[in-house]
Amino acid sequence: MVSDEGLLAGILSGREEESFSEPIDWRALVRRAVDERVAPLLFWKLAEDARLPEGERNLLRSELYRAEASNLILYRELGRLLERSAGSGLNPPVLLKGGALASSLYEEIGHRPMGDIDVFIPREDLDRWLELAGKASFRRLSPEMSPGLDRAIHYHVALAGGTESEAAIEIHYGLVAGESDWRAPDPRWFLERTEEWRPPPSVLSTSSSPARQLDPTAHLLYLSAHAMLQHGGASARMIWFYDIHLLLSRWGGRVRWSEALEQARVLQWDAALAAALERSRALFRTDFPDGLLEELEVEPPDGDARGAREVRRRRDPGRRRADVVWSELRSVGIGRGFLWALGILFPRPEYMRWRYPEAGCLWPALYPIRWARVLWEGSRALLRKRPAG
Amino acid sequence: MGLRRAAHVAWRRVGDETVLIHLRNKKIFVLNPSGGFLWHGLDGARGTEEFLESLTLDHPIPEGASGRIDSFLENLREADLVDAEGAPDEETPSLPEYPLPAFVPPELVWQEELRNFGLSCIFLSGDELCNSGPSL
Repeated sequence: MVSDEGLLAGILSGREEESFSEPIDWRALVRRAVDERVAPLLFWKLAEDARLPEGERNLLRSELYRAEASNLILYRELGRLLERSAGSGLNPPVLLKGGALASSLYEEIGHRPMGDIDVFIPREDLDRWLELAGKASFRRLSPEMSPGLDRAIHYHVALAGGTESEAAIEIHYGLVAGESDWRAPDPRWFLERTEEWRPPPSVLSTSSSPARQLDPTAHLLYLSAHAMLQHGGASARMIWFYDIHLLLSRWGGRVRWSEALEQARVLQWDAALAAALERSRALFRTDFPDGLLEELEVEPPDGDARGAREVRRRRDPGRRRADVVWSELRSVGIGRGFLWALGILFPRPEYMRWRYPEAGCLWPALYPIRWARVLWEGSRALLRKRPAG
Repeated sequence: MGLRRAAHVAWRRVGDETVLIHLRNKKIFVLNPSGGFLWHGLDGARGTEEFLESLTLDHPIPEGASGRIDSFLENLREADLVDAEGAPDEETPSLPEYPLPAFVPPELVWQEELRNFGLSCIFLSGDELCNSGPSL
């Protein structure tokens, strides 16, 4: 029997006839499509198909309209931010993932749902971008757990706000992980491999300051690491692999494979790149050069397969939050990990008031509850049998 | 003086439909191809008669067409999607070709509220995906 995942992937890649021979649980399929963020694409593929029941058709249709409207709002707010940045002396930001691809790779912006728009800037420009965003009515979504922790540990600042609507924009000053984390790349390599982002005029007015996007080689690497090293295979959504599939289908001829392989090795992202390509091929029969996976899966000469171990660990569907926290703390090293742990256990009052708004003036009482929760989740994770590696 | 598209409405053609989003109340409206054609022409200068004159059809305009357009414009007004105030645009842009060979009543074919806008990790602390870092 074909799984919902297999059926979904088959439909999205135009192979639905292979799977439609069996009875379909349409409700389950639609639910899965929503979870995997591919519902608008599914509607686009099946809009004219008489086999799709009316109720499910309307659910999918609604998903397309919602994605279309949300993305339109996000792009309008982005346009305002870009306009403000024009003449500020700042370099145009680099759009990542959906923010870049929805309007440049997909046929329709609503086919690629987004919760926010990610922009990537040089770390040294962060303060100026935050100031600019403040003038465009954006504010930090959450206070820092402890002063300076964001820049020491994290790699982006989440902003909410905007002129017309409550939109979300994440300003990235690093990629995948904080700069002390082994998974984080040298941002300069990516900032040097960009190209003009050209949205259609119906998406963003041409008077707006231009933004850039990663070139196909750099974007492929980033998308792979984002899916397999930042989030992990167990929680990676189908839309992220469809991004990779579409990128290779449409722009594959512009990917410089030897450079991608070399950089993947330098960053220890080779296992992540191999896993993302493998997954994309398994789902959508994505085409890429023969022998590539074999080349990526060669054990590094120094025997350090940290990337491969991390990809395996993140594939474990039984991972709990404490596992994630422990893995992140280890990745950033002892010193910063200690700072981070302190931040988790003793966040400053502004953070507590934001994190537990329902507590009102009783927020100090939540510190012991927080410690108990950390202890409980940590114990459960320790008692759980860990996968090998 | 005719109606004009309200400044607080963002819109976009999707296939042969037109999707509108009211930016204040976050309601989504979808217009059929005829509705999209009229929406495109709502520049403050055109009214029902001007719209009817602009139609180039293979078939004669049916009786009652004027009333259907009026009713459609009234629906847009009730939904706060259009403004009646303000002077018409200085240069009235030309309309695209009417998308159908015969007159089809313009309609709002879909309406819903955009709930959970900004359904991003950063708004959902309980989402597993948001737990890629220790945001306890």
